[in-house]
Amino acid sequence: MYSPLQSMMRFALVLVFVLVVAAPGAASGADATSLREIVRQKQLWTARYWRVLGHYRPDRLGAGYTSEIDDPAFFLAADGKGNPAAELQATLDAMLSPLPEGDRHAQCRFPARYQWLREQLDLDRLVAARDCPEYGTWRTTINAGSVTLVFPAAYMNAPSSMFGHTLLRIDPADSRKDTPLTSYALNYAANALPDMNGLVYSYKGLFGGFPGEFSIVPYYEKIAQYNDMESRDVWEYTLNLTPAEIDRLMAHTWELRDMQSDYFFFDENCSYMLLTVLEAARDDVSLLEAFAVKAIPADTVRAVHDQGMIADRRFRASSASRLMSQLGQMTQADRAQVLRLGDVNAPAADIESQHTPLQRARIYETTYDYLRYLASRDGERVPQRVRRSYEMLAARSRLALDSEWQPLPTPRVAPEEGHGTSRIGIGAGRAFDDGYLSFQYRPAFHDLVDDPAGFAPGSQINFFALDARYFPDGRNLELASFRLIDIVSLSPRDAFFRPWSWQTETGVLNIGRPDDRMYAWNGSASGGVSYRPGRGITVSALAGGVLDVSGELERDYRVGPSVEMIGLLRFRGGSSKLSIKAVEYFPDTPDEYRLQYEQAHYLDRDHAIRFGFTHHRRFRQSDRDIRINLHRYF
Amino acid sequence: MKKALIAGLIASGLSGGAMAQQTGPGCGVGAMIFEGQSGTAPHVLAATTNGTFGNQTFGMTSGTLGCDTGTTITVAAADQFLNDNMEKVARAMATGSGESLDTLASLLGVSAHDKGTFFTVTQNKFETIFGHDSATAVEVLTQLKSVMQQDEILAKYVG
Repeated sequence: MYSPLQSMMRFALVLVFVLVVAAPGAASGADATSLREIVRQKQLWTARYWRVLGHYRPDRLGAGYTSEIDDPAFFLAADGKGNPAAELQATLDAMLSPLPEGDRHAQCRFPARYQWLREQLDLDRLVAARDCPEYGTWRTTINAGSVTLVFPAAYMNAPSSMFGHTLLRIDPADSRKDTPLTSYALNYAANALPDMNGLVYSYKGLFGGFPGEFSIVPYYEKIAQYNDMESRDVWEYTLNLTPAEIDRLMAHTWELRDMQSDYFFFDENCSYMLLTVLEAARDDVSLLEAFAVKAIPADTVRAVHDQGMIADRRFRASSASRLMSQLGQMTQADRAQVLRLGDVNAPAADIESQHTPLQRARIYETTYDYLRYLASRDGERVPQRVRRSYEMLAARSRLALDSEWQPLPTPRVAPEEGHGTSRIGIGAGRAFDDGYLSFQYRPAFHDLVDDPAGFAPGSQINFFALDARYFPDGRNLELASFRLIDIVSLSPRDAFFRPWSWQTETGVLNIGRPDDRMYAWNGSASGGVSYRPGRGITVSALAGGVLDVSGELERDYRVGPSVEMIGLLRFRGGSSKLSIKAVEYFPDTPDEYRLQYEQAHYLDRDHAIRFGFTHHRRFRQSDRDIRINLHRYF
Repeated sequence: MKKALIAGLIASGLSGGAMAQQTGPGCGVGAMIFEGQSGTAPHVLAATTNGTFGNQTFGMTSGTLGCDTGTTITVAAADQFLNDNMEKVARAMATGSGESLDTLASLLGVSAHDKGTFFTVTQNKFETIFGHDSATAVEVLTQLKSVMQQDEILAKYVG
């Protein structure tokens, strides 16, 4: 026979058994229920930080939130992608659950969520912290001491890299911090197949056909890729993160380690994903707001800068930039010597008698750098070149002296200090003897006449550029052009560097008169060469073809070869561009000639005045357009 | 602790796509200087796609070096770095300075105080260390160690 006291004691014993013996991990049902209740009362799933950790973004339609991560493994609730509340409840349950054992436990898979819930709900009361061997080893291996945002500048000849790229470098806290080449690079990129051609790449990149993924590689591999293979200068921004913030950054990175998300060239790209990781690190900064539609790497660097997260900035010049700088520090005769030695099919000239040891040291080094540049361009192992490269270094090593190169100066304007990448313009003009008001809008990114400071010289990338005009006399609103994409890359050639210049564009434009419109879908592409006859001057010659498709044309289309000359002049506080283009159209369409002049004066970083003049000969008629616009960059 | 850190670096280096191309049989340091096509082609592809390749990794599984030469793990990390940076290390040695040579010295445990000596000695002995224009990372490392062993100051860094 049991007394009430006995049964109470037995109950207490069972309770103690449950709490002590079944632990760790098994919270009593009552406590877990009360925690769920707290979560409900506080509506914890609406907390900003939970949205950051779940990558939840407001739905375009409706009041809900949906995660940008597409991988089901990222969610613990079946409907977690579209339901932050369910995901939070499922996460809480999983944190409290005794199973599964080891590294598969939610605490180990989602250390950032665990850390946050622990603080919000005082979880330690209920459940012991798990041992996570895999995560623990990873953290001690990397031993993160500081984090650097790395920005390899634009690379015109790869569609994916036109805007530049960003990645994070994790520097260890120990002595390895002095040798950043062996630090870890945390990279988010589209996981493209290596044999995929550029066109498919561009299409899939734009519309989300690739899974994006994080990866970690030694930093020197990234430097070899950007600095050496692609000739891209690299900017390094050390962030002022505290140890606790770095802890959160690493924890959230771990959560994302194998997750796949569709990679979108414009918005969910490398830079955007890194910003989400940085938001997880510092919970009171809001970096993503401005990037709902597009995340241009330079703009994301600017956002990080504006949030006061940058402690230090360094410039790491590309191999090609260093080679150019060395050539610039040599005499004409010594440069010619480099070219002679660089001709690997001719026997190496003996230069000992005519040059000082310092001159020789510089010639040997520069020849080596030039040969390496050629090798990385061609991607071939040419035996003669290999032998000459070795001979140059051997000869250089016999001269025990410093070659006294002036270090390459850091560019005056860093990428995040260039003009804003969106542009709006208002102005007035005169065409076909009628005055008009003009309105221009270009969401991205930079044209040849914009202030080049902070951008790749000789590059133009316009996306979705709109040009509209209103003629008050005829009360006539005209869409002059809407260019979907418009890319120009003018790279000067010289005795050492022989890059090609090219141009491509497509969009809708009015090929008729403002009052007698003839809209055509227009596409053009051309290639050629550029030279730099003097400081600040580039001249280019391009040949290619043009295609216009329009129901207004007699045969619904016209097509033909084109030639174009472009002259570009940089002067103090401005730039000007003169282009002359001729197209011979088929079938049965008259030829066209166009002379266009544009001149910009930069008022400050984000304002410019632009004059333009166009003389057009088309459909056997001549017309002229003269205009002035005020441009604002933002 | 330090060993574990370096092991992680090696593992992460090994699993990069480009490395898979360069790895020689049994050991992660088969690269030849001025390798050309086989070494650079994957990079060029990576350049044009900005992508990552099959086995590129996040989790850093340790013990994948596959290199049983009896060297200490510290030297193995130097192996790996040298293997992946031969052309830059060669240039830096021949000219007597450079970040990649400084990094190699650090990986070999050379103290800041002795780095000047390391630079001078390796410049003087460049043609011994890089014996010919097709030297492999293994050959270079063997020669480098023997050069260091013969130097009064640097001998202590080679066990």
